[in-house]
Order: sequence, then structure tokens, then C-alpha cells
Amino acid sequence: MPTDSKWPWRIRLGVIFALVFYATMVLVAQLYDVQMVHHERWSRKLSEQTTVPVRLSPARGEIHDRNGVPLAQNRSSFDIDLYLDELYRNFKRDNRGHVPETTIERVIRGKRHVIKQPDIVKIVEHHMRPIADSLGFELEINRYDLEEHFRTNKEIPYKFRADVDFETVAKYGESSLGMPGIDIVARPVRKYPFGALAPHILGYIGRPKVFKEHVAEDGYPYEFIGHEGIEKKMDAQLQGSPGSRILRVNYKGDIQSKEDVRRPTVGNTVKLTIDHRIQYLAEKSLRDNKVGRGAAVVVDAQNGDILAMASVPNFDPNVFIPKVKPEDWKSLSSDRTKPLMNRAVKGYPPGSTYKILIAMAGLKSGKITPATRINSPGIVYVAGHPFRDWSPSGQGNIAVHDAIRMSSNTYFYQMGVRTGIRNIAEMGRVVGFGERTGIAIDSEDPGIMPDPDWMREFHPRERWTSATTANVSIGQGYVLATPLQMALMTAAVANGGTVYQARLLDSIVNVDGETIIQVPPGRVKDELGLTPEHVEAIRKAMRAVVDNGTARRAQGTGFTGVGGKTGTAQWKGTLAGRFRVDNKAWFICFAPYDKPKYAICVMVEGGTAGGTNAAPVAREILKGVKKIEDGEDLEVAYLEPTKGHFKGSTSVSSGVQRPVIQDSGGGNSWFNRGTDSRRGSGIMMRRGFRSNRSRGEW
Amino acid sequence: MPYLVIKKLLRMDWILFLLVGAMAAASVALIYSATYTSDDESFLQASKNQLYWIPIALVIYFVLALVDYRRWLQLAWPFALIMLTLLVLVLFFGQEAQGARSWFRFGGIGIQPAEFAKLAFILMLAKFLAGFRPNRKGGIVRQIFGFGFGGFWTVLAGAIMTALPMVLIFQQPDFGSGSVFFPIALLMMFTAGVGLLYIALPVAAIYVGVLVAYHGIYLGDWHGSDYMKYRFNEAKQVRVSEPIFRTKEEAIAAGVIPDERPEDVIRAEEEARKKERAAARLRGEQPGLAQKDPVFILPVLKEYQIDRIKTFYNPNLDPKDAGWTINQSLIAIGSGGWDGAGYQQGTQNILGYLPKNVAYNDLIFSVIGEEWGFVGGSTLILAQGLVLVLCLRVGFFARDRGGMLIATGVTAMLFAHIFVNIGMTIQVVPITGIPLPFISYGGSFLVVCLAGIGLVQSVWIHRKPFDVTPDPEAASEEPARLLELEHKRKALAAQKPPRRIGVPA
Repeated sequence: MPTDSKWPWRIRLGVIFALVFYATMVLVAQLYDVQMVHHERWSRKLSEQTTVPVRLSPARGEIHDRNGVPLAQNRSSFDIDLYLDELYRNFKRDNRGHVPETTIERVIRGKRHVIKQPDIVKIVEHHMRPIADSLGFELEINRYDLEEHFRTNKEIPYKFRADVDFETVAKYGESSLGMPGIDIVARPVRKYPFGALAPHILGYIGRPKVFKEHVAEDGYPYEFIGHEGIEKKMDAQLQGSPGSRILRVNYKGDIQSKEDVRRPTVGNTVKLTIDHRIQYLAEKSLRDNKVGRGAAVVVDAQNGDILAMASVPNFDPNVFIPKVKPEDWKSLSSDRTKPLMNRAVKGYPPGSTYKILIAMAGLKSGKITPATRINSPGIVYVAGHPFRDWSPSGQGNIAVHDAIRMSSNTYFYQMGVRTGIRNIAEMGRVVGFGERTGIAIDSEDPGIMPDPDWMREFHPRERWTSATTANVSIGQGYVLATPLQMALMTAAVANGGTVYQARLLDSIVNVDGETIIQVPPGRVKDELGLTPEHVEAIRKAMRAVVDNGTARRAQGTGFTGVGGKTGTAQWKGTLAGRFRVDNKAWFICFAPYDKPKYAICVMVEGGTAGGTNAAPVAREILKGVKKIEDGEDLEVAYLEPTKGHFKGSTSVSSGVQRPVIQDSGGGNSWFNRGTDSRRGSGIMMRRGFRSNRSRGEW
Repeated sequence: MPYLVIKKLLRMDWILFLLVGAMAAASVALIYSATYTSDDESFLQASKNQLYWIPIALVIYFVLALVDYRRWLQLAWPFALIMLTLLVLVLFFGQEAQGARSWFRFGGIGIQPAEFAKLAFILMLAKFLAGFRPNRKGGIVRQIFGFGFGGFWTVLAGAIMTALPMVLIFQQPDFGSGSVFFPIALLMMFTAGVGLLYIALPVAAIYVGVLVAYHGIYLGDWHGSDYMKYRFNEAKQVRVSEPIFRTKEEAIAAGVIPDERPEDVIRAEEEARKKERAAARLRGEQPGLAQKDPVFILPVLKEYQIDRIKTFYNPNLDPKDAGWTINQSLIAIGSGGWDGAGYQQGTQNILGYLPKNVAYNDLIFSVIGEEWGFVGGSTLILAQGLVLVLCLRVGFFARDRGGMLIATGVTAMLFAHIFVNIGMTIQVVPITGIPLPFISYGGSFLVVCLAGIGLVQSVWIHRKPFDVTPDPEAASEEPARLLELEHKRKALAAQKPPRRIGVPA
């Protein structure tokens, strides 16, 4: 074998060839792994870092009244967005690289960090100060927010100021030409054009508290959801579906291009049965009569449509837009008059207005006839307990007509006992007491229609006696009814005996004007089951109440003939931290007499008497309604919210409850009425009742 | 002698030439795609510059290819001298760019001596190793598989020759270009026939290096030689990714937040600290941050290299900073999929996620991978592999050891560049600043690559003697003289005593 053969190095070259071949295959295999096997993963990362999906906020559907007048609509909100990174770089360039620095302390994952970063507050101030000065708005910078935003995600625009008005925007547009890093974005936001008009019905909107429960179609939570009233109940209908836009960003986070993938849609319009003019009248007359706490409900007597439902004190739902200020929220939620509570659907002892129900029950059961006379002295004894009339001398031997007209307690004690609680409760259930009317408002109370069964269930240690029945007969005791229920009962009496289902929601219309859902009007819930003569007797009696009874202050409405009934429920209990006497003054009425159209219930807390406090409110409403019917134009203006007060409720020296009761003769002192509990009051349970004397009832 | 030139041209390895030429031509389009969205004028000019460099490179290619490589081998020592001189000069008179003093600039043309040094080095080593006769006593088997110490002096001398340019280039500092000399030397010595022990030792060293990189640097969290400086800078600049001060006291001690305690307390503490420091110095310890937090310092590597190794094993360690390049490269290539986003459609490149200043040279394969997908990427890898194989073929059929060694050296150079460059973009090796032959932007490097191929072509063209009968008339006149000359040459060759092992002529 030749010693100088080429083969030694040829074979070693072969080894190198193998190495090269192997390395090439390694590269191809790895390339295959990256590009083919893990393609999805890298593509996802690519789109994650190069594209920013931006939501285009959908516009919320509007809420209209029965005439198509918007009660809640949308307007454009102009927000000033700052691109912090861009501002920072501009500042650095302008100042030849000199940037003020600041140290911030943060606790991140339980460890304290001292972080030095550019003083972004100063940079923003530097840019925004001249703009703010020239436009004349206060430069408010939330230092912590801004620094956190800059530290954690400076690529995302920082919403510097929300809801700038249009003039500012217009002026800004002129003054900021060529200012990179500052952008103005228009977003649709809610607007309630009449302010505090029916805020309890409309509700308000805000950011969802639990994001997971309010996810839109694009998988992100809605920015705003309804929190109360129709806004909450009809949220699914009112929400539009959000659109999406894709921003392409470069490695510095600068936006390179925009592309709209889907346009946002507008939510459906919800049409209510409310007439915004009548609602305005109700709101206005509650205000004019300086009602601190109370409610007024107007129902169409012929079909159960709720025409107005006002409650004071109230609030301006616009303060929740775009975000409720902490001090506003604090004053609303900590106000002891509870402005957020819808008093029109809360249960209160109805007092003498309940006597209408008792009369109907008595007539229906046949225990009395319109002609039956009952001797009504100043005091009667039921089950050994004394029950007093408001007038010490009584009303004498009267029939139901005068008993209603003069609101005789002793008459109804005896009549109620004679009728029996089962008949009363049955009548009450026909009218709808003790159950929700089912209108689209979540906070509605069912009220309480007590009877022995109810007593067994909720107060098993007490016994139903005829004294309990007597108490129910004048709308005291365990009885709770909401102003809305009372209005519906009034409507049933007024129209001759048909109990209609209350209707607040009229229809839902989509953005193209097509009606999606139509709630049929005039759904009959039940019939009273009284003969026309009996109904007419009660109607007549109610008319007499206004004409020459306890509600003379409801005269002069312009309607020919108004039927009404007053009521004053005694209420004692702890209210706003003090033990008070806080009577509920009621007035229910209907008009016109011949063909009743409107059934009204007014409830005033802290009133002296139904005829004094509640009847004038109803009269104002009826007067206005009459004017509207006569074709007069009613200017509906923006309403400011009312402040509640405790005027009219007498404060009793606190903490000494027992002597108070004894001093006032024990009275009909049920404590803590008006609570939401179906169970009634706890004190009641312990005490039972000792004696009954209904003072101040007429 | 045009006739001979045509003959030589005809004998050229045209497949190799066309392959390389096609890649060089494609590079212009690829560089254009990598730079056209930039707003910097120098980047926009890149593809045009590359276009100007191609003819220059081709001229040098043909000159090198058509002249007999033995002529070039004769000039190896002068070339080596020039190379070393230039490498020394560039350290003093070179232009600084991106922290490295590695350029000579004449007017508009920049030249990187380190690139040309690779070529001169190959010639030098080929010349030197050509004189080495391996293990002729042991027969062919031991020549191929011999594990002995044969050629110790050759290896030592070769190692010194390799170390000289490497050290000079490391001084610039250019770690990537410098380290290429190592595989070139290794493979050339391997084919030169030194004992396999000398090959096995470096390979074992590489293996140990990988172990250190994985178990030490990555898992053991070792740090580089400039760790203290790095730590100091970190304390000054404050990076958010890592808690720097665990307590308020530490932050106060470093002067980041002011100390609000009474002065005498501060002074007392200062005194105590001074005493402690003096005591530590007496004990022979280094007081400071490192003492609180003992770290293992690896003296040969810099902190940024340590970071690259760490992010090589786990790109998610620091994706916004140290791991940025590898992450963005993987995203670019991975999102390319089967057929890519299309020419000039690479999102990663357009939006600047692949850093603009390296996308057209060191990271060009990421751009290609994103725009041309697996089809384009694997085609390019296979084409580069084919170039290597063709070069090896030249070595296989070379006329003598010198030619073979030139072919091996050029193959090794190209192979190192290709493997490391493509490998770093797809997480086969850590990120290194090494360009891709024939494709990456860079005039010097293009010239060097084509010149290397030119040398290989020369070896191929001159692998067997030409019929020295260019002129039929002259041939007819002097056949006898030529025959006589041939006999004389053979006789001389027979008389010449064999050279000693490992001693250069």
C-alpha cells in the first residue's frame, strides 16, 4: 500500500461530509419543528404582539315613553387619550435627552421595590398645562394611576380625561394641531335628557361589579351594565353588540394602521307605558308640595298601564355617567332618606285607604249590603280590647257610604270582624295584595296580605284573633301594601270591577324600527266579583269623600267628579337613628267619575293626614292631566333631584320606647313598619298587641 | 493566453458557481425586502450597495479561480503578514461601529480586515499543513484512525497560528468573527491527518463547554466577568423585572432613596460599616454587593453572552430584553409556516420587531423564514449544504494536500457561518453576531465568501495538468524536449528525500 496515498485524507473528508450532512439535517429538522410543528404557537405570538384588538363600544338602546319621547338616550363623549410612551419620547427629544426622574415605591408580589422611572407626571403636566390653561379646565392628575399606567403598560393609551364637552373638543382641535401622543376619542355614553325624571324606573348604569357575569359577544365584559330599574331588567335588550377594530403596532407600540373588523351595533329601544308629561306632573307636584319622602303612582284605570310612577327623594341618573364620583355615591348611599329606594313599589301600612278593600270584601261576602247600618260609637271592644274611633263621639248609626266618606274606624272594626279575615284576604288576593305585580322592576315588594295561614307561617307563636282582623280592617297591623298596588285596586274599583295586570313595559323595538316584543295592553288579572250596584256604591262613597268627606282638598281638578279615599297609617319606629312617629299619609283617587281614566295613589311619609298631605298632590296631578287632555302644551323641563327630609315626623325621646307607647294609650303602635320583611316587625312578635286605639284616623 | 483561460473556464465547477452566483443575486432582493420599510437612509441603500459589491466580488473570484492555487499558496506567508499587520492596525486606526473597532473606511467603502483574515488564514494554514506527512509508518489505517501523539509540533504551531488572529480580533472586540477561526483550524488539522487525540481534546472541550453552559450558566445561574459593573449599572438604572432591594435599608444604602433618620444614628452605622469592611479586607474578602449575594463568576464570558446562553435555553426568561432577538426570530420564522407570508410581507420585519440594524445581515434568515416559509428556508439550507458538499468534493479530488486543505478550510469557514447563523435563528445555537454566506449584507464578507469559492474552483480547475499544447505548431516543434523535461522532473522527484514529519519545508 502506498504510503503517500490520498485515501487517508479522503476518508477524513468523508467524515466531514457526514458532519456537514448531519448538521444540514439538524437545521432542516429544527426548521421543520419551528415552522411546521409549532407554527400555530408562533403565529399566535405574532398576532399577540403586533395586533391590538380594540373594542368599539356599542351604543346602548334608548328608553322611550309611550309617546316615543326618549327618557334615556345616548350622546357622544369625548375622551382625551394620552400615549405616554410617545409623550415621553417627545419630551426627551425636546429637552436633549434630559428627563426628570422620580422614585416610586411599589409592593409587587409581596416584595418592596424602589423603582426609578421618568417623572411622567411632570411630563404630562408639561404637555397638558398649556392646553388646560388655554381651554380653561382644571388639570387634575391622579399621580398613582398615571405612574402605574406608565410603569406597567405604557403602550396602551391612558384615558386622561373622560367626557370633555364638545366646545372644548372643538377648541382643542384647533390648538393642538401637530401634537403627537394626544388623541381625542369619541365614545357613546348614556344621557337622561330629563334628569331626575323617573330615575327609579329607568335606573342607572355603571361598570359591572362582577366582570365574569356580564360578558359580551366578543368575550370581554361590557363596559357598562344597567344597575337598577329598566336599565338592569332590560339590560340584555339594551346592550348592543360591540364592534372590534384591529390596530397594528410596531415594536415600539406605535400604531401603524387600523382596520375595522366589525361595526358596533345599537341596542334595542325599550318603550314604556309611562307618559313623560304625567310623570313630570307627578314629580313636580311631589316637589311643589314639599314632600320629603313619598311616592305617587298614576295608572290607566281602563287597562292597568302605569302612566307615572314617581318617588321622592330621588337622584339624577346622569351623575352615574360616565362614572359616579365617590362623593356623589357616598351622599346617595349614605343619605338616611334613601333617595335610591323606589318608594312606589315598597310596602307601607296603607291605613284607611284599605277600608275600600274591606268594604268590597263585606259586600262581596254578603255580610253587609250598601244599606246595612252599623252603629259606630267612639269606642268598640273586640276580643276584649278597646278599639277607638278617631272621633271620640263616633259617627252614629251609619251605612257603608258614610263610613267611607267619614272614614269611620269603629264601623270597619265591626264590619271587618263580621266579614271575617278569610273573605278579606281572598278579596285582597283578587286585587293583588301580598304579591308582586310583576312589572319590570326588580326592587318591587310584594307587601303583606295577612291571614291566619300567613300568621302560622311567619309568626307561629301568635294566634289570630278577631282583634287582629279588626286591626287589618283599618289597614294597620301586619298589613303592608305598595302605592302601586293601591293604585291598581283603585283602578279596579273605578272601572267597575276589572283588575288589570300592571303594565310598565310596552314594547321592544329594534334599531330598524321593527317591534320585537309587544306586551299586550289591558291584560285582565281578575274580576272583583261584585255586582255593579255594589261597585257603584263604593264609587259613590269615594266621590263623597272628595265632595264633602275627608278629601275636600282634592277638589278643583277640572274633572267632573273625582272619587277618592284618604288614609293615615300610624307608624312609630327607629328612623334615621332616632325613635320617631312617622305617619304615612295616603290618598287614592280616580277621575273622571263617569268613565274613569286615571287611578292615582299618593303616599307621603311623615304626613299629618292623608287629606292634608297626600290629596293636594293628587289634585295637582289631576289638574295637569286635565290640562293635557284639554290640549294644552306642557313644557317638560330638566328636573333636578329632590332632597329628602324628615319634616312631619315627630321625634320621640329615643331609647325609651315602652313609656311612649303607654303614654299614647298604646295606640296602634306597630314598630318598624315599612320594612321589606314579609314577616313584619320583630318587636311586634314579642309584644303582640296590648290595646288598640286608632287616633288620628280620618 | 485566452485559449488556456477558456479551457480553465470550461473545467470550472459550474454547478458550484451557478449556485453561489444565484444566492448572491438573490441576496440583493432579500436585503431589499429586509430594509425597504426602514426610514434610515443607510438601510435603504443596503441592497444597492450589495449590488455594487457583487461585480467586485466576481472579479476577485475569477482572478482567484483562474490562477493556479499553488501560486496563491506560494504567496500565503506574505498574505499572512499583511493580514496580521492589518489586524493590528485596525485596533488603532479602525473606525468604531457598534462598540467594536473593526472597520477601515476609504471614502464610502468600508472594509473589515477580520473577514479577509479568514481567507489569508486558510491559505496560511494550508501552506503550513501541506508539508505535514502524517504517521507514514503505521500504514493507511493508522493514518486515518490513529489516536497517537503524531504531529505534536505541527499542532502546537498551528494552534499558535490560529491563536494570533483570533486574539487580535477578540481585541476589537468581535467575538463572532474571531471564534470562526477555531472550527477552520480544527477541521483543517483533522484532514491534514494529525492524531485524533488532538481532535478529540477540543471536541471534548466543546462538550464540557455545553455542559457548563447548561448546568452552570443556565441552571446554576453563573455570571460573567463584568457582573459587578452590570450589577452596579442595574442599581443605578433600576430594572423593573427583578427586585433590587429587598429592604428599605438596602435602598438607602445604595443611595436610591434618602435616609431620614437622625444624623448620629447614620454616622454610627457608617462607622460600623467601615469597621466591618476593614475586617473583611483583612480576611481577604471582597466587600460589596457580591458578598451578600454570592455568585459564581465565569471569567471568560461577558454578562451579555451569559444572557444569550440563558435565553437560548429559555427564551421566555427575559423576552423584552436579553431574549428579545431569539424570541422575535422564532416568532418570525415560526409564523412563516409552510409557504411564508410572501415577499416583502414579513410582519415581524416591517413592524421592526426584528431589529432593523441586524435584520439585513445577521438575522436575514429570520426574514427569509417569515417571507418564504419552510419551502424557502429549507431550500436555502439545502442549497448551502450543497455548496459545502461540492467544496468537499473538490477537496476529495484535489491534486495535492495543499488543494485539499484549501477546500477543507473554505468548507469549514462556510460551514461554521452557515450552521451558526441559521442555527441561532431557530434556537440550535445561542445568538452570535455571524453573517450568512452569500446572503447577508456586507461587502467584505461577500467578497471573502466568493473569493473562498474562487480558491476552491482553482483547486478544482487545476486538479489535473492541462495538455500543455496550446499552440499546435509549438507542440509539433518540441515534443522531444517536453518529454525530456518530464523525465527529468520524475527523476528529481525520485531523488528528493522524504521530509521529516511535522517540520515545514
